[in-house]
Amino acid sequence: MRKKVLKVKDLWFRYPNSNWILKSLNLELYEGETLLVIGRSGCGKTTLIRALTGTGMHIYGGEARGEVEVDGKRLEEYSLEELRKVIQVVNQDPRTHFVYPNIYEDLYTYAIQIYRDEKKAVEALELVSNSLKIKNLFNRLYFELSGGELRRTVIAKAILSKPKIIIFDEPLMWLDDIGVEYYLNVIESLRSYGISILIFEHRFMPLVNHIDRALILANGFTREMSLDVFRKPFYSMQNEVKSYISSDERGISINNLWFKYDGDWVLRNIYIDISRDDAVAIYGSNGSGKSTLLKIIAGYLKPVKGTVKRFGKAIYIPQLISLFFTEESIELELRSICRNSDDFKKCYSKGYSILRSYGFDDLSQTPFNLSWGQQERLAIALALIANYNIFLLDEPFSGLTYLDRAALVDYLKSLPGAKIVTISSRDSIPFLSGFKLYSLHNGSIIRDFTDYRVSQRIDLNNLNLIYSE
Amino acid sequence: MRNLAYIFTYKVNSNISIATRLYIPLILMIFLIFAIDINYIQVAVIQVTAIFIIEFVIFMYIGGLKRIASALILIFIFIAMGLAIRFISIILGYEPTRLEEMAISTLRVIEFFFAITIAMQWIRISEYRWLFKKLRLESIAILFAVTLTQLSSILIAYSEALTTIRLKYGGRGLQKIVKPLVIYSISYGRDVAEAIYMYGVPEPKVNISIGKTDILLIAAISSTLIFLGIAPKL
Repeated sequence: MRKKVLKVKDLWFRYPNSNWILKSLNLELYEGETLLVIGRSGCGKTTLIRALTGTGMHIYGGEARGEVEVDGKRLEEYSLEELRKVIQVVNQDPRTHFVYPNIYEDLYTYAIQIYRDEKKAVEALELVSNSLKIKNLFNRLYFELSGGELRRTVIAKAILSKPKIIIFDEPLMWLDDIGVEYYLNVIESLRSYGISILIFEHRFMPLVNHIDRALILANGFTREMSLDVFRKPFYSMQNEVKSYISSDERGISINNLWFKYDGDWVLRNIYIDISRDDAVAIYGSNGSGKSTLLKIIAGYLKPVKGTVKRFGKAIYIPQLISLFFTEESIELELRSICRNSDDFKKCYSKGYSILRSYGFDDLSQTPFNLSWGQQERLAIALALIANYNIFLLDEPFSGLTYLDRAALVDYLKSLPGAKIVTISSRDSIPFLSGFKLYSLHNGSIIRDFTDYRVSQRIDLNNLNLIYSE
Repeated sequence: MRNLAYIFTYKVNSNISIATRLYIPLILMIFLIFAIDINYIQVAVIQVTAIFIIEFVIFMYIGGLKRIASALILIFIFIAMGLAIRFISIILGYEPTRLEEMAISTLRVIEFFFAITIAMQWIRISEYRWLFKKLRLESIAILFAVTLTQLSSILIAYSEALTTIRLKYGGRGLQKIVKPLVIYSISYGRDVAEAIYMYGVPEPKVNISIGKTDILLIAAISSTLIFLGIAPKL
């Protein structure tokens, strides 16, 4: 019989002055097992991680009831030093793991802290860096690394202490296809070493073939799911692809665009024409120049060569969506954005009805507390109120569940104006049915994709089935 | 903003002792504050030029000159402001500062900024932590190390916020950037605290031995600065 390395029984958790977020939650993780936990935004995935490691109680002052047993011993019986050797967490944002900016120094000093012996520390670091292929990153600074490289480095740090369990909080966030591929290889290596893995991730499609079991977290507790549900196809091909062009009027015209940064060409010879109401997706790996292209279209950066003509007002919505908001309530956001309009009263009353029609009934709530998906929708609604008609969304799918992605695309389709969305992973493409797709590689548009419209269509029934399981 | 992120992090593994790497920028800063007398303009020109050459050579050695040059844009903003004030003074009929004095003062500011940059780029964050610890400032040492390490990531997010808010409000209302930045920094800081809880803050490993190169460097810089400081008075 396999050994249970993590046993959670009747776990309740709440933050100070809040309702219970976890309610009588049970969970078991076996030795060498890979378990996936999915759930909608705000369902308590990160809270569960905090409860399992004690950070919820010790950093956030939360209250926990019930039992958490790690490797046969109750959580509260562990000293912090002991706990770090049994269970480790890789945060959603891997940059937060670094105490020193130089990769080698950070890993080396951490290895010394664990082993308290230089020879053993160097041996452990050698072993880990070889197996995760990070030796070439040793002389780099952490903020110079790509998402995939960062994730591998942080996983190396996590396994330096040879923990029995590794918890990943949304490990695929911000990873492009190459990063995802690397991550999946690392997961397979960890599995081969017999490490138990707990993955909290709503972008589950790439993980399906790398897990042993799956749970859904909803209403404060978990339920086991059949893996067969994940193995059904999530999208189908359409014979006829619907275009969004309602008129021949031009929205954006990019002609022979070149852009240089720090002496290197970031964008080369870009030609894109977008009609007034069209929807466009730009697909490319991290660092391919997508965000730079959006900032040039928005008019924030000036091209070195070539022209960008905008036939309307452009707004840029960043990947870190919370940076878009400047006020403590939705109502103040509305006032603030209308202050720039010619007729404040007209703008405010139009805005009020637009916000209500998009489901923002309580204007006193703070935008910073909304879910990622709601924040995306609010940003777009505010842009609409301020009469913007060119919407530039930089990787809007990053923090969204698949259902939220589908809802966001539906929302975008209903908007008047040109829409440009950037994506870095292929699993996002089926959500953008009918969008004109451009592929950006090393700063150039790959010609094969020109005039191609996304013909896949996401199967919402299958996705709904997963969340209603 | 992005270039600033690189100013606060070192780029090289140096074989020079921490004592030398700390002494050189510090002595340059002290010289710039106390040794330059603006009343002797010709001597001051020689002094600031010599300091500039010393700093340039150090930058060539530690690398990253290009990024530092890009970050100088901030310094140029101050120069432009100085020139604007001078111009306004002339228009209003006040006696403006002499142009040569202004140029020397500006160069001093730039060189002082360079000396700070050398101190940041040449001395590892872990070594600063070690220094603070030796001064019995353990909590400050940890705060300093983590803040400085994470500053680069935060500055990159700030640059993104700046773009967003400028485009959202059409260049107006830039002060509005404060709220999203405060909220982002708090939330990011909370994540860093969680990571520190799970991984701890490892002790730095610092080699304090002084070699022949260190003695030579300290002697060369000290004698040059003494000569530059005393010679004009003779």
